[in-house]
Amino acid sequence: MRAYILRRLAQSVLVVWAVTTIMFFMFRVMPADPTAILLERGLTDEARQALLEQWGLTGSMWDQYLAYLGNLIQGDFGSSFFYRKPVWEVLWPLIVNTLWIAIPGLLLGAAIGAAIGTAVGWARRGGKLERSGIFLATVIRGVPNFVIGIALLTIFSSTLGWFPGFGMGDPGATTGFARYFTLDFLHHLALPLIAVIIYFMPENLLLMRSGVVENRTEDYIELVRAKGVPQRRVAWHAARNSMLPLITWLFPALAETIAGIVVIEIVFSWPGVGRELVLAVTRQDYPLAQAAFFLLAVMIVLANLAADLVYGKLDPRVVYK
Amino acid sequence: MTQVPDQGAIRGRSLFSSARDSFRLLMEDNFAVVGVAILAIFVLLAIIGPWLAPYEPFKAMMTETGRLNRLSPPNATHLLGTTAFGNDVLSQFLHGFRVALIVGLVAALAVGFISTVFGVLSGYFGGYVDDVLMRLTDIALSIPTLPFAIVAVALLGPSIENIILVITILFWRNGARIIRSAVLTERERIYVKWARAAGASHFHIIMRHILPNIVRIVFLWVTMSVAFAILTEASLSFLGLGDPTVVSWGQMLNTAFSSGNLRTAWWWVVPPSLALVLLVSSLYLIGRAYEEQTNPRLRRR
Amino acid sequence: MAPARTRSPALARDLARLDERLSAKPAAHLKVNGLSIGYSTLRGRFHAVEDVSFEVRAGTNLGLVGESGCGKSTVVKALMGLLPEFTGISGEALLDGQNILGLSDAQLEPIRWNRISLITQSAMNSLDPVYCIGDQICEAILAHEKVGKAVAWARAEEMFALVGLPAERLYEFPHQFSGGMRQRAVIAMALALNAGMLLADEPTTALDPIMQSQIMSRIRGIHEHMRRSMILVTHDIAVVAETCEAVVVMYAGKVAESGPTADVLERPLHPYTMGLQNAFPRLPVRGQPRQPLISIPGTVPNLLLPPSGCRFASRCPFATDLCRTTAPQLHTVGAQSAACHYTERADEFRAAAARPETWRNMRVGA
Repeated sequence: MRAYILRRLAQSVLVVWAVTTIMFFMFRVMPADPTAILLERGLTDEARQALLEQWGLTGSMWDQYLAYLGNLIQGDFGSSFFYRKPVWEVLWPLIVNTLWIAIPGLLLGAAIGAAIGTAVGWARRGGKLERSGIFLATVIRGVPNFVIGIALLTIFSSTLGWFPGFGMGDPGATTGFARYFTLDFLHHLALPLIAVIIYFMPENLLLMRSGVVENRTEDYIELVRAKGVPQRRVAWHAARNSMLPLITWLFPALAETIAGIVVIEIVFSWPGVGRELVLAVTRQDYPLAQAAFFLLAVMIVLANLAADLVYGKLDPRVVYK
Repeated sequence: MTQVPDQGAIRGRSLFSSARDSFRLLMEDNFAVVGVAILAIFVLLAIIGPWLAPYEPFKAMMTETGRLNRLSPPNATHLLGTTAFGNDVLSQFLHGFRVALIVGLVAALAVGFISTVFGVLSGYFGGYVDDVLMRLTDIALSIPTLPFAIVAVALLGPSIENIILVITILFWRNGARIIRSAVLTERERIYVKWARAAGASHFHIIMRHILPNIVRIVFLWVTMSVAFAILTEASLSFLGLGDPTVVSWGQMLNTAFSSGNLRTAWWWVVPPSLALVLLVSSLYLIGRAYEEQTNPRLRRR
Repeated sequence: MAPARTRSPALARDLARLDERLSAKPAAHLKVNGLSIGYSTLRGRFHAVEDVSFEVRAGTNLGLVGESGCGKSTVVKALMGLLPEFTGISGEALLDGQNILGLSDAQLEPIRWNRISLITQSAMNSLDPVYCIGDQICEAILAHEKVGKAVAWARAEEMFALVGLPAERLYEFPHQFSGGMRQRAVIAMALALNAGMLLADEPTTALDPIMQSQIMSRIRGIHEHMRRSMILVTHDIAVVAETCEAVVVMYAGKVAESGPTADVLERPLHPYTMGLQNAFPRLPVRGQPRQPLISIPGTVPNLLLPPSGCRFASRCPFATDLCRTTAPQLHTVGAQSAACHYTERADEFRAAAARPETWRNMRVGA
């Protein structure tokens, strides 16, 4: 087990390395003048030269790549042009904010979707519940996440005034770590969190439904029925077995879903990593954009790792080697 | 099995006939019919939309008193009202059909083509190609899609062509994996072995046996890719990173959002939102029907 | 893990009470009258089972024999209420006087496993892969008896001991078991509530011959020990001969012949029973010529378009025009009955059926 985790960690590190290499090409090779995007405009020649050397931009492409990796390993993504401070100082507090909507959002979305999906999959084939469940889930899945955000914002914030639609706290609210435990914060959290849940739920629902439909005709379900346990319990067996394919299907979906949170952060002005990425790109603050992108990629790698380990916990047939 | 291979099994079938069969099956699914109907209306509007548009999409409308006609609610001259910059909402909305469908179709065709080529090569021949492809997709699956698109489009420059390029780079990987696994199953079928034994070439087997049998999965993936592409373009435009020279629905929503008129100017917000929901949902309804087709265990017994 | 020796006094007391309660259950009596089962398919109505009647007296075993596809497993599923929703079922099955056909899942809840339990056909797939065996047995016990999990687990340990599996293997998952062990686990599960009626649906089909005879002798041993009623579904007439007091031979969804096992195997009345006997190996009797294995030529008729006469007519070496046009009624001879027009010529048929040429020379499909 420990050896397996270590090996998976090593794999994850390899993937992160590959992602950084792709980033290197994106930020250095794609634009016509890579120095222009890494250095602020309006520097003196000496300052420019000094920065170029510090960033290793004076050597060959290979030297540049090595210097780039060296900086990354030391956690040095440079300084934000806009905030005029190291990018980590800008991004650290934002990571927590993103996780606050990402983790509960993904977990609740998966749980709610799986629960409804089980009910829909267990319903009579071709019946009302099945057909309406599939139809609604498919349509909701087709709603772009910013439309979900706009709808929630218009209905619950602008019109009904139940929830604030902007940021993470009212002016003058508690700051620092303690803020996460205030009612004001939870009040602000509600809408973006609901948006993530609605965005993530339908796909889980449909996958779970397929899984339950596939499993309900299996021999072992027949035996569970024969045992005379309540129907709810029989459905649970089908659901429990459907979670396995659900998790393998979610691997590729995670990259898209975590990415989707970017848009939700923008709609609700939620100060997270994704919003900062968009702001940095529009402000042409490339060191910050690069670091934010890197962070999101690492989150996806870690989420995949977690999904992999959860899978092993759920399926006794998996042997960690 | 002592069955003698009959000639038909060795000859396989044409791509066209299996595509036709697949469409016929699709039409047996009520939800898919709804999807196809909506899609057909959207395609029609994409073709004739710009001619139906009463005004130039970016033309500033003036009131009779010579002032900018800002945020006018729907009325006889402006059926869907005007934007905060005095543009006619209906005209912008009608232009949006073409942009959405062009991005969706071109990107999906590119994604479909590349995924199929890589999926078939890697699944059918296996070996070195397969190893490289699988490692590549492993890495690609860890790249956050939209952030990649945001950065890449910002670096390459915000044009429709670049957006399509980025979408293609992003989405071929999932398709290649799905198609590869389908090819792996088809490759082991008994009729493929008969065909090999009967001396058929690899090209013949791929064209007559493999492709016709995975055509539903390719269709499924192309349909889903259209939806992903439209969603990605809309998201980029909504974030203000779209092509500034064309009007798209995402961009209309971006303008409404950033000018702070979401709450009041419903006539500006609802049409593009609704159109996006209808279009993407109709694609998902079609995609779902293909999913039920490709998974025999989901069929009703 | 709690091996039997270290059970706490309270647990041992509760377990003893549970055991006592369960062993007080009487063996069940089952009477099936005119059971017919049909499915609607795209190509018409499919008559899987037609007008099947039989009786299982309390504490006895009944063998249900026939080729695959003859409807014997369908009968078992109907009795458990496991057929798909839209199946057309008619007739009645009186379990201790109560009709158990056509009940809903909710109505069946107190009956299933409590009064009628099932040893499934393929133990390979009939255990949930993600739960350990012990939990799956406990699930059945806890659904019907108000006892704690520890007591249920202790009961499961007892059942495992009964089928010869070590108690600690209750913690293992189905994939860690061999085919034979899984089958034994399924038997242990079926016995967990000491149901009065046991349905064993081809319990040994998926196993190798050595395993098959081991499992069958275990089932026989348990039967002698617990005195339950049992329906044993099998295609192996030799197993029936060893295990069951009575036998029902089914062919193409109908009863071909039924009666006490000794009578039916000694003096079969139906040509199908005669053919079936030929198709299974028998140990050679000293001083007698070795019996050749003869299979019955032809295949079971298409039940979407059942033939108008006797369903066995197309494969029967003695069939006449009457057989091909008129379906035979059940004719009773002593304790036996058979659906054949010529039960009075059975002696003559038996002599002919023992000769391989009889079967070889017939025109198949005529």
